[in-house]
Amino acid sequence: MKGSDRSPLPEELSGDDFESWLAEAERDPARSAEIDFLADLTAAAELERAPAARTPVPPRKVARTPARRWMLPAAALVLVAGALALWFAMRPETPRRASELAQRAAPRYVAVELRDSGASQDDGFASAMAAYARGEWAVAADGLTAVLTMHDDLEPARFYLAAAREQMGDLAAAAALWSTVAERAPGLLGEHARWRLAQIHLAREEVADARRELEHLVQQQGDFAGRARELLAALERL
Amino acid sequence: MSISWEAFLARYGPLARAIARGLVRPPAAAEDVVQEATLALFHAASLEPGRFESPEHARNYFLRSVRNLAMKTLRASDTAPLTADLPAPDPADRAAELVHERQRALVRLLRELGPEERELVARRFVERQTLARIAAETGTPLSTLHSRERALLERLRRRLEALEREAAG
Repeated sequence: MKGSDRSPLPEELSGDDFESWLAEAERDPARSAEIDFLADLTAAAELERAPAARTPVPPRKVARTPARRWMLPAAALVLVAGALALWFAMRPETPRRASELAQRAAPRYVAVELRDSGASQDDGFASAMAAYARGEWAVAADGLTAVLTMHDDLEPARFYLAAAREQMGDLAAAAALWSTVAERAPGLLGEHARWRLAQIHLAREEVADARRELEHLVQQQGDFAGRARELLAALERL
Repeated sequence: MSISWEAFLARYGPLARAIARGLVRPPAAAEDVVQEATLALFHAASLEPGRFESPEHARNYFLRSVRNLAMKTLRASDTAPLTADLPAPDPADRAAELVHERQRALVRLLRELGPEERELVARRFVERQTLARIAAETGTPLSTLHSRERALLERLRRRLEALEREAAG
């Protein structure tokens, strides 16, 4: 199919046309620019989704302040200086206990996926994850529990329910949930759950249990094997 | 990658989601597909940074992953992993600001369109309807819609380029 006849909606393309679409973009900068334009148009249409079908309101003219050009670099410098000072004040000392090695920050859910349409927000999982991304752990936990009541095999929901429970301080519940995900979920999700389970064991000074999970990750040779190996070495140095 | 993750995802995230939603149901599963493709790219770029120096190459890898994962999900209803440790957004990220500026400029252009063109944009690029469905619902011949869409996209692209030239000059 010629480029000009091709649908501008890539999800409408067949597998072969989709490949041609990308292959042409790799050869031809003009085709590549067309993909960028379609990406920008899709994003703009999302931004404009509510007013798109309504009578437009003329945009207000906002005068650019002359200070704008230097304000961003100045703000960046202040932020960098602040971050350096914070890092210097809070840089970690050599850990002496297993619990000091544990990583307890909540796993991040990529926020860009949540800049989303109303259709997705109707979905229970997406709504719960929106609360999760805002750090509203109890709301997220309630939502994810409800999702699991309907879809007991939805392991991502169980994973983030465990994360929310951990952030609420309920380590026992988090450990049980992560243990289930580690056993049931294939690939990266299961590995990440086992990694988080090891962190909880470390936080509770259950070093033998933490070692067992970390060694399992090393044996799996997956994405978390390297991190598990480093953490086992750090445990050896205690 | 020569641009930040925030800029990259701001630019290509919506298109990736549209591709995934066009192939996968329910919406949460489409979100998972995009999430997994993001992670795949992040992982690949961590292992081979030189391979993804060009944002265009990273874009093609990302969009191809989205489609492949969506097709795989259709075939096997796999559970996609959802976890990530992507770098936090940088509020002073100039590349991301440029992407947002370009998208805001396009929003302004969309607001200048006439009602019929606005409806076509809403149906095609927001609701992702096929031209055949629009033709059936509006009574407009398919060939007319096809020509109208091509002309509209071309005009928007030229207008955007002109705006960018003005801003640069």
